[in-house]
Amino acid sequence: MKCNYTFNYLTTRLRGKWLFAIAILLLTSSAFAQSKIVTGKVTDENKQPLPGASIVVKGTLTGTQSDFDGNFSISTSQDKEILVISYIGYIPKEVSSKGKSVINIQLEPDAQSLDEVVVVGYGTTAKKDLVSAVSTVSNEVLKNQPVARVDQALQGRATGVQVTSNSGAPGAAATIRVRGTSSINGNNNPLFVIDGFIVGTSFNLNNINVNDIKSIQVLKDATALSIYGTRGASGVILITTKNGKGAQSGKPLVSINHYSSVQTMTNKVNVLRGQDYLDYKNEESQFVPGASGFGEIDISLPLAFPSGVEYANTDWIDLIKRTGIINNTDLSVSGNSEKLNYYLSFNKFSQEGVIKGSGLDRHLFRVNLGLELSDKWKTGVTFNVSNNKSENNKVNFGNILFRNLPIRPVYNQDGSYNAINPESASPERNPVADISLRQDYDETTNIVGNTYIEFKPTSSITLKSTFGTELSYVRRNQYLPGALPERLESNLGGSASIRQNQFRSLLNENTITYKKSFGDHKLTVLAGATWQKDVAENTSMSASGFVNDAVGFNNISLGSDAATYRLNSSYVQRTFMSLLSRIDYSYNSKYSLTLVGRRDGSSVFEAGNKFAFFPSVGASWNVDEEEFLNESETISKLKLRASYGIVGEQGVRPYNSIATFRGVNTYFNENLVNGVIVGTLPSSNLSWETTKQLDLGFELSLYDGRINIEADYYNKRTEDLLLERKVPGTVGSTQLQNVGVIENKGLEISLNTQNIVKDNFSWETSLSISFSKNKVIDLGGAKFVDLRLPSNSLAGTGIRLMPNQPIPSFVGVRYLGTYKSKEEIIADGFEGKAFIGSPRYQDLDNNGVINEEDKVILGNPIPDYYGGLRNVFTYKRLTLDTFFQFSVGNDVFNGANSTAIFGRGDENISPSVVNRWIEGVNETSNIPRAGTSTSIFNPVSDLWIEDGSFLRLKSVSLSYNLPVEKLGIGKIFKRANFYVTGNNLFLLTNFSLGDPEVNNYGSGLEQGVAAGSYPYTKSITAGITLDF
Amino acid sequence: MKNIKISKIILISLLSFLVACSDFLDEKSKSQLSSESFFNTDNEVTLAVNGLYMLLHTSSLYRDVGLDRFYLHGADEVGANRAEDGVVHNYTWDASSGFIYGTYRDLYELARNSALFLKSIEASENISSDVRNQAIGEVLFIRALTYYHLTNIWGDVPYFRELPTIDELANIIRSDKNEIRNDMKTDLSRAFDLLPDVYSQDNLGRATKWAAATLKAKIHMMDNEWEDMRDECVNVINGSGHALLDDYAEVFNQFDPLKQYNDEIIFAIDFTGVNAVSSLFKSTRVNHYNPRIVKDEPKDMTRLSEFKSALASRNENMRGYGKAIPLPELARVENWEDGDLRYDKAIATSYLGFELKFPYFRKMWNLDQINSPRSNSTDNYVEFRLADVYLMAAEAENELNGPGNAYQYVNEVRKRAFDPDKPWSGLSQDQFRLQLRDERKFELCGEGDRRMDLVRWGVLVETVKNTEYRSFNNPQDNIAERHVLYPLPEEEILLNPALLETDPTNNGFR
Repeated sequence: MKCNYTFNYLTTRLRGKWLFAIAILLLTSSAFAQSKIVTGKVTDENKQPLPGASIVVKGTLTGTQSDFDGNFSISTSQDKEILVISYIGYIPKEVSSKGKSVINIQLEPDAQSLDEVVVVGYGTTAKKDLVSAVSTVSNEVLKNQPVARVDQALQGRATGVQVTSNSGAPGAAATIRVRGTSSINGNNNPLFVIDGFIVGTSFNLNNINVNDIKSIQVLKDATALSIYGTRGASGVILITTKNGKGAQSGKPLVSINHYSSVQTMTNKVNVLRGQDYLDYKNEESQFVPGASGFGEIDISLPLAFPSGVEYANTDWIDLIKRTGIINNTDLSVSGNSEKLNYYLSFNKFSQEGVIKGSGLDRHLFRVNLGLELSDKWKTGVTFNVSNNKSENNKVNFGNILFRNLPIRPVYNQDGSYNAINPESASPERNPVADISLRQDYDETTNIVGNTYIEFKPTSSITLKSTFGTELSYVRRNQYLPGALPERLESNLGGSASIRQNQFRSLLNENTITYKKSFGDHKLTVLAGATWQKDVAENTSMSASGFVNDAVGFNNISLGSDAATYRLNSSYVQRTFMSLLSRIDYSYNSKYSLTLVGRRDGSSVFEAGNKFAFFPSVGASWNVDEEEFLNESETISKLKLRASYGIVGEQGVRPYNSIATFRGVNTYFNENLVNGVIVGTLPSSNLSWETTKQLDLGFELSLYDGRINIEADYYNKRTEDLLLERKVPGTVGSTQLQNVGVIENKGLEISLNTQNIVKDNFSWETSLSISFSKNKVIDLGGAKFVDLRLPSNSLAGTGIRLMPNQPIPSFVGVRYLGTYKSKEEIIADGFEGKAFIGSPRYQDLDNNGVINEEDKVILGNPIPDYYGGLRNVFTYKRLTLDTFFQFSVGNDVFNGANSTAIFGRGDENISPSVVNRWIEGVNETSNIPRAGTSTSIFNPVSDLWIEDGSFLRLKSVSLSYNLPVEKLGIGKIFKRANFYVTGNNLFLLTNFSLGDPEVNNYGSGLEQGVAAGSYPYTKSITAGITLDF
Repeated sequence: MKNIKISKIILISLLSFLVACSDFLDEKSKSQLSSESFFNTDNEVTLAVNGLYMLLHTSSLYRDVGLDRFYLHGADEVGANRAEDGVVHNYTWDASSGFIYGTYRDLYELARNSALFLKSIEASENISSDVRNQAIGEVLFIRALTYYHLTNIWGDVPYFRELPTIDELANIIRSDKNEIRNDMKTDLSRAFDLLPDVYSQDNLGRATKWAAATLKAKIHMMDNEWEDMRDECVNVINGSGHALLDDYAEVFNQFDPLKQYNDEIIFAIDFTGVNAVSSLFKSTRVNHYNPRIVKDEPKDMTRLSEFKSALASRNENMRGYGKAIPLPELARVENWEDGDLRYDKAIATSYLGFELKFPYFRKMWNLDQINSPRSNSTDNYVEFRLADVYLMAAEAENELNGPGNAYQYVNEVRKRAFDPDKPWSGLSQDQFRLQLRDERKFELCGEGDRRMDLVRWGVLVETVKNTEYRSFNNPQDNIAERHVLYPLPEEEILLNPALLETDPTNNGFR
């Protein structure tokens, strides 16, 4: 039913767009009514079609662009017009149309600019002259992917870039690590730069449309990064959006893209069902240490859940899940004329998540303009406005997997929602009620605008000033109605909260570029000055005791319980001021040298310590330009690169060096009063974290570009790590200090091969694979630093940093199974604490106590290698694009196991307890018997650590490019493309909790923790792209 | 040419902006208070003092079984109903045990804040003398309470009167506990002079001069300074206006959140329960005294639903942990003196006609689901009450001069414990001493006085060895003489080895 509805919806929507498209068509085509049509095909030196080549009637504004298959069709007003056919990186050709109606053109590569242009910080450079390691992801690999966020599309695509989904929730962020984790307390997220504007490391990627992106460059080595100074150490991701340059002249290109997806949950997790739970609990209730002290069943004891009573058997997962739906529409108009180029786009994305009540709605508008004011003056603007409304997940999925008891009914006998845990009699949330009653959404409005003015007084000098801003406003509204069963139970009334976050950033950058060639010498000198100011203002308010649920957060003053009123506001400001410079020199296209330096100042450091300098040097050698390789049949390109430099990371929260008081409350005889105490310890003499990075790389092309290999080795050493370091309790708890050293090493290889290149059939393969190793070298003398606790704090810390170990390491004790005999218990010295059939751990120091001293290293979440494999098959107009993603050697910390087999408290238990130790029935089982869980400390153990390696068919897409000419609709459409894409259709893993690609703690250091986040999905998408 | 000029102008103006804006990177915190601009008004001083009271509410101190682990557990009165908290109950704790560090850290946060605030308040010139006097008195009291706990638990500890620099604090050594306690006694005398007699309803929970006197008596008690101890106690008994309630059970009645301060209570840490703005003020300590229904109670599970309805009809439930319940010896009525009315008010072995599986401290539990639901209890932590002071007066007087003048104090407490009254008379000094120890045990059972009593009487180890524990606990096999003090936390010694300078054995634990 749902699908039908969607299809209808789709067609009605399209009908609207049809009219729009036809209107545009009529308007534009009327201007060229009486003309001769010339058609043709543009191909490259290998006779491969060149889509997007420009065809212009010489001396006029009339022009067009070749389509996906290199085909074009152009109207000329006279018979003997000259057509100019051009494409970036190729020598333009002029052809007379005299007497011809079909012209096929083969372009020859331009040796001078064979290479693509690569965007680097504060400029662009020809790939040939590039001395840095930069991963490029073009829009070509992003297309046909039904993803709302660009990070989701980046997974497995770029070497050295590890992208891990934090959850499957609509619009959820992913964690991105460029060449590993290099900071402890600081930031490890890459810096995002959109069209030259620095939006920072925490930019919400929901605010940018994947379809607006022209290319993504990931800067990885020191030469590329040090131009970003103190903000570059975790990598920089440059996003370039589309513009009207290279589009056809005169006539605008209208493009419509629509897709619809259906999604289903992939986390197939079994939970313990009703009768099995009852059996376990009844067995538990009759367990006693007994006279022997080693554990017995006393059948005289009453059963916890005696028979004769009807117990529910609720499948909570089934009650909250649904089929997810995504609808996405992109509409763009682009073009250029002599002085102006433009790209305008609109996007609407809506998603209903696979958990009822969750979803995302987005509207996005973009305007990119470039204008030539005169020969010497240019100006332009990029402007993006987005509005996101995300319906936050109302249920706790982790609870549904591990906590909610199957014997708990959804409804009471009187039809009201059940609110009581039948085991403990405590009030507990009811997921079904949560979905229907809770209100919880975020609304984000984000504007990024960037304008520039450029002045070229001479041919070699360019002055450019940019002024940009990001304005962001986030409001989160939450209302817990008094009608929620757990609130009714305690007569709490409704509770509302509103959180607002206003962020503004202003950036001004001024650069001067001097570019000149002297014979064989080419020199580019860039110098610049920038400043940026970021201000975040937060306010929040909450109130409870609403006696009526009608208004909720829309009139928070109706919260009647004054004791629950909470008001907060804060103001945080950061400022940056920098000078930067880069010198590129190349000789005879063979040897290139780049020197970079940035002097960076930041407000977060204390006076006298605010500035630092980050230099780097890189060089490359195009070996193929040497005579001995000039004539080589095999090697068409060989380049060697090396770079070394220093990049920084500030990792400090603002105001850390200022001693402050913290506002607190206290009570006297139930009267609330305010108070203050000394706040967190101020830091002193903090400086930047500095990352020194060596990069060695080569690029090799064989057999005329049929085989391309790019490989990089890197070694990053981060010193003066900012560490929230434990200080003596007499001083406080922690203080931010510069201590510690971390090392990241790795090898990145990308391989691209054109396996088959035939007229009608081609097969291309791209493999990206990254090997990485990181480890802590030093923690300022500390033996270890504990990170966040896993979900059950009773079990002690399971994640820590330790010298000579990866970041982070999973630690715990070794689980040895169950005690099978008295003798084992006596030998271990656990009489009275352990019982036959109870868990047995390795007591390393044999002191009869399981504690910290018995912990060993059990694993780490860092993969040995990860990457992706893409295969593209093209047969005539049909293209099959498959993409596998893999990760090997990473461990997952399965937080669900914390209580899973111990039957603790009032939570559900792992279904594996069905195979537990039972006296006289199953005495070889290593799953503890019922009733022994509280007798012994059940710490983090190797039970919790699982292999998280996986191979996933991330996407497979089949698209068909309609022969618009043959169908006779060539006058209407330039291109019509249909596609079907499947995502996550196949997953190979041994992980017990569904999808091992988990990151419950988000972008923190504690990677690879699974504790039941919003489930991941698989989806099928159907889409259409139409160009007019 | 004109364009070049323009570009020059732009360039020069940009560069000059860079130079001119040298304060562009300066940081001023707009949303936080800085200590430099504080302590100028009466209200600011009161805010600082309030902050110190807040710090008493942490889990490692009074909110949960924080201080209870040192004062209540590990003696001969309280155990868990199952193998929980074994490290404490079995005397297997050592320097790396987490609870020791938590309490140590929280007490030093109090010590640092009080040192800084005291100096700042004393130095401030713009404050009215009433506010200043009370504030100084309260800070002196809280600091003395802090060091009372520190020296009780660890003996010699790091000590400072003015807040040292971060470096000095990080390398501080232990000071002689006698020096510290002498300073505290002097401070408390001063606090007694500065503090008011009583507070308005809105301020109940602040330290009065009688709280200061009681604390001073307690410190004298720990030092066996009988004369000073007696004098302070007598002063409180005669001068404070506090009085013993007629009904022993009423002393512990916390059901009405607005009537938690009765005449007998001298000082309590105020908890607010469900209405509190932060979980810090919702006591979870009572969870440990409260029974677990279903899991443990009632004894006859076939009557479970009947029992539940009986509780529900009173707005009650049993949703605690059952982890601080009387040991079997204390729970047996035959171990109490015949006719002791306190037994039924202190101990519960059945409730509403339902037999219970375990004994509980009826005086300490709170089954009310309106004001004291699970983990949201409004129960105050009663730190000092007058009956204790009476018994202290009796003990000190007996130690000084024998029983003659001591009977009056102990018999005042016994008067409400027996009907008809069973006053003491005709005891030798030694008999009086030994009987008083039991009197304290029964009168104060479950409140957290017993362990330090056993320590100061020098009988902790023998008492523990001779007590009957539940089968899963075996402290008698583990306790040794060194367990009268706790070791400084291992983490602390790792970070500051100077703590070993005065005692390389770390109270016998190294």
